[in-house]
Amino acid sequence: MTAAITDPVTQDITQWLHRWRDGEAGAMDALLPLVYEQLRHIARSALKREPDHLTLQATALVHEVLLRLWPGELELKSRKHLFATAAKAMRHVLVDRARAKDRQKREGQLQRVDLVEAIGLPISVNEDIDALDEALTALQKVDPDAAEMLELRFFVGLTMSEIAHTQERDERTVYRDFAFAKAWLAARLAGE
Amino acid sequence: MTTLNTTTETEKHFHARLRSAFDRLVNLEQSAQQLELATLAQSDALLSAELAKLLRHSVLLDNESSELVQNHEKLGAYQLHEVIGQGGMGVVYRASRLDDSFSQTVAVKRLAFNLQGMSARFLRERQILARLEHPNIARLIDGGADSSGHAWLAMEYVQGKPITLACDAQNASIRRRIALIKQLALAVQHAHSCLIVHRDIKPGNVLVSDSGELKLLDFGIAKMLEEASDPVNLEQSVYALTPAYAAPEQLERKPATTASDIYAIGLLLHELISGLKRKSIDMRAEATSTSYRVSLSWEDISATQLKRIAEQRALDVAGLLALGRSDLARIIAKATASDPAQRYATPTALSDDLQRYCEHRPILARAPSLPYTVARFVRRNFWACASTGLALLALCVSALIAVQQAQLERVQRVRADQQAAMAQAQTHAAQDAAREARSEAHSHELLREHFVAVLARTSKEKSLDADQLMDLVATMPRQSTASDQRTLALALAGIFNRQSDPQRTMRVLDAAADALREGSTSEQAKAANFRAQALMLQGDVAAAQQQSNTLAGFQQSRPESSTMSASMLQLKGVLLLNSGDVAGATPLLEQAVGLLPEFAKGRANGDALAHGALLANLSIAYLKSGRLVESINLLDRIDALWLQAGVGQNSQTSAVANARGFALMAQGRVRAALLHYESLAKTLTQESGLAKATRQAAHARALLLGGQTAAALDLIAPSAASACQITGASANICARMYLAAADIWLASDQRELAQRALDKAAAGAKDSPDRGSAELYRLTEALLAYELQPDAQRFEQAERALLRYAQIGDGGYRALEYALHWTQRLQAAGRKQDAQRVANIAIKLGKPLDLPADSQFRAQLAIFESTATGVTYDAAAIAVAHKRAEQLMGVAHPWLKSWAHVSLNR
Repeated sequence: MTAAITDPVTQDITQWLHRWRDGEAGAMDALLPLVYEQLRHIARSALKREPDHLTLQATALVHEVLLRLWPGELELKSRKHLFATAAKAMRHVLVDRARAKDRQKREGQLQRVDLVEAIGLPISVNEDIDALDEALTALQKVDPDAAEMLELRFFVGLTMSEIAHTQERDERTVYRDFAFAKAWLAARLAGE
Repeated sequence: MTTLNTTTETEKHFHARLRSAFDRLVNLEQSAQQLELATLAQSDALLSAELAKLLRHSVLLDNESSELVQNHEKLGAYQLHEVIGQGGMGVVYRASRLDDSFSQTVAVKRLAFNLQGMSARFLRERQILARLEHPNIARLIDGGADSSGHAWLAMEYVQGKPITLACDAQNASIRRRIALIKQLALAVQHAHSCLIVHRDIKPGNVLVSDSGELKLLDFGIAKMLEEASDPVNLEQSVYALTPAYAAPEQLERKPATTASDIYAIGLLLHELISGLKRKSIDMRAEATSTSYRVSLSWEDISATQLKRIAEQRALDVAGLLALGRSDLARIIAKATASDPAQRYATPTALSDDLQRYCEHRPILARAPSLPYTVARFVRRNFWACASTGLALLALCVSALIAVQQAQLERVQRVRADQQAAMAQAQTHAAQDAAREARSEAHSHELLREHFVAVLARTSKEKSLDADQLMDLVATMPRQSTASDQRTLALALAGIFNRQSDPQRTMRVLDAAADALREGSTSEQAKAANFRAQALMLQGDVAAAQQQSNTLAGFQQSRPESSTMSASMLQLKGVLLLNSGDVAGATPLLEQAVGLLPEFAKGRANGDALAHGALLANLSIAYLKSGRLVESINLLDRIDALWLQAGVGQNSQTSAVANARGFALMAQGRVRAALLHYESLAKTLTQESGLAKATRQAAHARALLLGGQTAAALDLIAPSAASACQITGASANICARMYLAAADIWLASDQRELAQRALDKAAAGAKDSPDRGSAELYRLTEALLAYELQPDAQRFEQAERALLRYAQIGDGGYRALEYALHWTQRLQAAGRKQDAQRVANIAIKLGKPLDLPADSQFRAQLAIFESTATGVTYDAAAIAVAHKRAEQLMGVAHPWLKSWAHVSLNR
């Protein structure tokens, strides 16, 4: 993991970060794609190294990496942006990976476990990955806050209070979102 | 594109509501969720279904992945299984005992508070609760604290639905519902006798299994939680009170007592019977005694909802509404009195009263007035008393005596109070009051003896109906002294007077005439008063006037008696009212009402009835002069007064109910009036023949305006005929009945019958001093003439008669009713121009009237206005008016059909 932080992309990120902190307009826009790529990279390599590794640990890894990447106190707006991006990235990694493996029929089922476990829902591992991804996207439409909360929880591995801080919302509200999002997803995936 | 956006907006809105409902319900216990969902389903089935789905999945999630359940977790000697409920108090698991050879399933409740050094109190409380053993109370089995100090309790595992849902699911009858509440009350009684208060009785805590077994859950838990919470900062308390079922004192954060449980049982009874929850209480508003009032009524409830509620109780709507005036309403009112001291003293007392209600015995929720007691007694025991042997009779008699004994004690108490007052201040008034109380007590003794004697005689008669029994009661026995003779005669006359039975009143007074002539001024005045009222009921206004003058003579000799003068004023007022002089009657009645505080003094209970009767007369005077709002206010005041004083059904109740019907009709609230009359027909038991005929005539008129001409016809013909045969029906009343009949026959094109009815009405109406009757006669005559020969001249005559009728001083309500009805007939006959002319009159008449939103008249006028000739044709306005009218009158209403036709063909 130490290696990952010192690679060229990471250096780029650090550079952009400084420019952004010095007030350069547009620095953040340049920064985020890099972070996104970096995250995908980290996730992929982490998963490659340990193919049967529990995804929840992968998300915890993402979290850890992000915090290391970010030196010092992170301004809230950027923190929000960053974590949201990270969550998206992680989700896409997992979905892509499950789909790719799906094509290689033999391994298919095993890989689904990653995503299903990541979401932390008591759904069948035989769950259609596309359906799951679609359900997440649908939730985003009707209840963006709840969907974002869920992504932060499962794909970045933030704690409830971290999520509350990031979303600038009351912790109880976040808990409520959590309860709702889980029930909503479960109901949708059950085909109801 | 537009459509797409709209859909999204709708979805967003739907989701927002779904979210807020989910957030509200997700942490409730499952039973509470079910209740909320059921309520929601009534207003929004879609939302409720969606929500139910989410909540179901939410529970599944909790079972499988809740952070609270570590797999195979144990608490004490219990193995936890799945979560079966979750709420403000904590999480409930199904669990089983580990060390048992047999596997006992229990419910383990892990409470949401930490014991922290209060374990001693918790243990003590737990021991007390464990003592509670009753077949209808879920037992507390065990309890303790887990490693983190959180308290848990193991309780009997109960499978069942909340009582309200269970009853609705089985369409349980009112009797069945009452039986369950009685069971509940006895269970609570058991706990109270162990000095344990429940504090949180609500549907979710009262479960009924499929086999019909009732179990009360969570006894004493509320108290434990309350004690565990921060006493200083109650707002932050972990114990969430269930405001919807809390007693007023609990809402005010005062300590809960056994009376709070009784309140909750009463509230539950109310919900089981009415199908409605208590109106939500605004805690920010100044708390008044009325803000907590729970009454059995279904105001503002839609017809479909009413129908559903009735069906779930195996009743029709009228039967359901009738419960609102039954003793059951009084039982609920007493159990849920906002002052704890006014409630039943114990749950058993409540249960006993419910038992009495089921057996048609006098309930305790009302202070028994003699006629009421006797009426209930006779109704219950009549056949037993009348047709069986002496042993049973003795039982009946002793039951009667017991009830009267209680009453006697009450009177004696009053007397003692009066004597005490007398000792303190030897004033003239106190002596007077004491004397009156003494004589009242004595009169009760005489009455009791009389009734016992009458009942003894019934045993000899083999077949006896209620009428014959009352004849026996009206037979004055010889008394040892003239004074007793007078007292008994006046007491009996009082009873018959209250029952609007002029014949028997007169019979009793005549039988004691000699004795009465030698009586005191006050006794003679009373007799004259009863005679005047009886004569008035018999329609002999002149003779009544004469008695009234006699009364005035007595009054002058005793100017200090305000009771007498109020009753005098009332009598005079009613005499004027009956002769059609509303303007003359109103100030007299108002003056009498002004004397009321004096009038009611010292005789708190007995005279709530008289008090109400006076208000009723004034209300009728207002009604006749078109002062509808004031009239209805008075009717409400009477209802409240009688409910509070526990006045039972009597002849005046039916008069008041009739007045309410008239008021509803005057405002054009035809549907409400129909429901009202339907339920009256089922509930009124103490109604004179005359009152019944009048009521039926009014009901028939409501049916006519509601478009049910055939049903109106069925009702009016026999009641008109019978009304005129009733001795005591004045020519004026008889005439009014026939005028109503004539109008209905006219509407159904039976002109000959209409003509015959008109002829019969002529004697009492044509030259009546009551201008209303006279003008109505002329109007009906003109309408019939026009109907027979519809030409311009006769139309104008009828039109003029209508305008004259509008001038009689009732504010034009009745004329409006006739104008609308005439328009309807003209419309149906295709005489469009004439119809429009009369419609214009109706519009003019309707303008100054403040018709309520659910007034059929208002809807009809709206249609007239939207189609008025000369005004621009406005399709949208017509459509709106139609929609409104449809809602109010029903699409099947013939009038509406004919107008739909007209509007479409314009």
